[in-house]
Amino acid sequence: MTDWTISTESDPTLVARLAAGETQALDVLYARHGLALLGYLVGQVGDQALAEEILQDVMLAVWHGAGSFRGDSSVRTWMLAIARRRAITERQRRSVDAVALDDDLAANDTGPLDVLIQRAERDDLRAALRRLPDDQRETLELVFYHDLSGPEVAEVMGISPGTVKSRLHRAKALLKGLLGVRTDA
Amino acid sequence: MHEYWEDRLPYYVAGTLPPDERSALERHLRTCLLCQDKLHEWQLITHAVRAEASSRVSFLPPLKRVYPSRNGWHKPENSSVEEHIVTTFELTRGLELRRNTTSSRTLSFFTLAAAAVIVIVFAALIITPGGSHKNTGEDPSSAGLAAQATATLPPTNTPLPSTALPTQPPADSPVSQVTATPFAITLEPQRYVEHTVVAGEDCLSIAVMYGNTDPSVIELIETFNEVDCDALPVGAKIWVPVSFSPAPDFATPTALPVLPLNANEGFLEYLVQPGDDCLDVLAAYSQNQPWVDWSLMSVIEQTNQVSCLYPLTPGSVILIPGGTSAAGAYLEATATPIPWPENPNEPMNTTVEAAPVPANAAPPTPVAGPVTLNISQDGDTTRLEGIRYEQQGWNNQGPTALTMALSYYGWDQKQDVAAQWLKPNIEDKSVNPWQMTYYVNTYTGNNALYRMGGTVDLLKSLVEAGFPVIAAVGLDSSEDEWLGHYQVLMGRDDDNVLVYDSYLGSNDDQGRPYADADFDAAWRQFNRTFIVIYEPGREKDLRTILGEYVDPWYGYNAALEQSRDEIAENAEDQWAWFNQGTALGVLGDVQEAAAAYDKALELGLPYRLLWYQFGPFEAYYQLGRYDDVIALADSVLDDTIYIEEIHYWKGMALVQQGKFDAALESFQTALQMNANYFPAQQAIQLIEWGIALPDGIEPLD
Repeated sequence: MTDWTISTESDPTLVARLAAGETQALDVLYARHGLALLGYLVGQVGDQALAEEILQDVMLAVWHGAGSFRGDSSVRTWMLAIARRRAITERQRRSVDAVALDDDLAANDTGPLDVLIQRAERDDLRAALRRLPDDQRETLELVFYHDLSGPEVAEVMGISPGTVKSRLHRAKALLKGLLGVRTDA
Repeated sequence: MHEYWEDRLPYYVAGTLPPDERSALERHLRTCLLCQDKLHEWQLITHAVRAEASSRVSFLPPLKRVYPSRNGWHKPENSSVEEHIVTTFELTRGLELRRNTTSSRTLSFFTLAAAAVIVIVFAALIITPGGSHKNTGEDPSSAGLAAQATATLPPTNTPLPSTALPTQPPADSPVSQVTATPFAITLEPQRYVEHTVVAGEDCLSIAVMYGNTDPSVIELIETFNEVDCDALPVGAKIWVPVSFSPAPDFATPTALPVLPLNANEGFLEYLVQPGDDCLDVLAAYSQNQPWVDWSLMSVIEQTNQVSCLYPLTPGSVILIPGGTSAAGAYLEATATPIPWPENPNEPMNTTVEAAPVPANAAPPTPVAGPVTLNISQDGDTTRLEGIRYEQQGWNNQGPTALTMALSYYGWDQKQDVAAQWLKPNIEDKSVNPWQMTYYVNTYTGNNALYRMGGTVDLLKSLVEAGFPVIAAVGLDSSEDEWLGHYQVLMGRDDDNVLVYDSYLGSNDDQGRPYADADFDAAWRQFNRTFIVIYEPGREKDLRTILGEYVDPWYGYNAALEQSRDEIAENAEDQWAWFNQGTALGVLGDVQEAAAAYDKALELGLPYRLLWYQFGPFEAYYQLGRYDDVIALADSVLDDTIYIEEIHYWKGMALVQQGKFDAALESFQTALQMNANYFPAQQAIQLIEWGIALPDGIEPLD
């Protein structure tokens, strides 16, 4: 039976259809999550063409792995976890170093951020984001751009929920530090 | 306890906190100043993170089809390709396509060269404040044939078939013009394909069969034949217009049966040439058509267990499944079919007799989903239950409002899914009602329509009947000054409307109350424009409630009357003047529209208004005030470059001034802002084809 409301099917249903061999479900998943995954991958490897290449691999892995998807996590989380593993492998292969940044730059979480936003334009905040350690920036992105819950972030990154929490707070403190709000400010 | 809530703030801002925790946190926030500060910090960070992440990519490349042999041989489902065709068929459904009234357009954009006659439309998709003009009371057959000043292809560019075609449609069938937009498609006069309706068919299957994916054809079929495409009488003759359009498959001249790719049809062989990839294989197979049906790619790859990512081995043979797709070109292939192998590991080289093409196959039929009515009543208060509140991301009020309204029907995606299509560029300031309507009708399985000139009572009636409504409103926040915004109406009582506001909140999921008059004051800043989201099965209910508003022209006239009343009360009411310009523009009185816009702009309006409403551009354009169009566009672009419509209108004016390179640049910039903004895509195509010409200049032969 042709179902032309297919695009409203839930992600798990699509994965089940994929597992049954319906390649068209992959198109829907790709349309739904592709751009977000690509953005994530560009952030991870810093190169658009390479990210696109990895994304194709990710989709291939989704195709191959659909049958083993258990539904313990959301499909988005599952795909992000696949993307993350592929990106790490690629980075290791190419010896891309993670950004190193001194955590001492972090400000105590006391001064209001909007004070410095008045001093620094929003572009500066974006620039500061780019200077965060990779794991912190990635955590922020998983929470705010990919809309993952704390446990989901933990699952994708392979860390504990407590670490997610501390990374979020450290990231905020470090952003303040980078933007010039110091504890003594 | 405070720390507990503080830890949840990031997820609250991200919109991922469960509803019960969200409500509890909102209660805590009311009294916790520290949390309010931290909330604001997280909001700033969220905006930056989203802007940063989404700025990295704005375009998703096509998915390459390399899915061979998972767990051994996989025989593709016969239905999967057909389903793909159907789901990618961009059918625009809804009341816009159901009406039998016709309308024409008096506004021109490019010069007509040939004796083009019938102008098809994208207009149902193109914005309200545009300049369409209802053409009532005229003989539709002559109205439709009146030469219009629109773009057309010189005959040499016309890929029209030479196939002898049936005669013209019955004399009593009106050959009508169906509104228009900046870009029109011309139809050759009186060339049609005759089709006899078979059991179970609807207009969708006819259009699919005809081999195009252009939704305007359905409207045209309906108009030509004056039929209700929901209930076609078996045996009736339907006249399918022959045309061409930028979509190459539209040029297919003859009515072709829809045939799913069917393994039983056997295979065609293709000998791989040096340098070939799968695309070449398909192109060769599709008789050098300049397009490729990507749904075939995966079948070919699976059939052959090859990866088309890499160059194919020259001299090897690729087997292409037989049958045809919605695109009729594949019917032309006549190679020797090879039967589907029982065992994929066996060489597939047994030649058998060519199987005849089956006469027909059951066309896909749309399936209406279950009707959703989840309404609570408490005293005089009615609420739609089950709408999932979301806080908007950066610049994301349109997709978020749409996502909330769709959640009433079980749509479980987040705002970023709709945003991917509606505003691929996160900085895009403006998502228009027509874009949102188009998105719903194309991608969600539900329907939407939008109307202008509504009343608060009408909106309340809609909500009461179980229809979520999105209203375009002005938002005067002290922080950001005036902004265009969308609110989702999810409830009402005798004195108020209740809204979910992606920016201001949900009021503990009870809906934020706005007194009728206050709501109207914000709503009229967008000419009382509203979008209704509805399930296909409830179209009749919706018609009943909309009453006269079923016809969008009624809404335009209502908007005009409203503006006149308001101006009579206060001649300095700039909003009323602007609305009047918009209503007049849509109704076709361009001269008066431009005068009203002049008055409104002279009285002064928030500068951001032109981020969302583009009527002045079109009105000035129609009057040949190209310098004004460009000056107005530049004044907006000084504030922000992220509005595709502004670049578009600037490009259109530049075309008229003969500055094609600059125009092309504007259109390309529009596409950088929103790659899905198809008016700019079409404009570029017309320039590249050399047929976009200033008014009054004849094209070269």
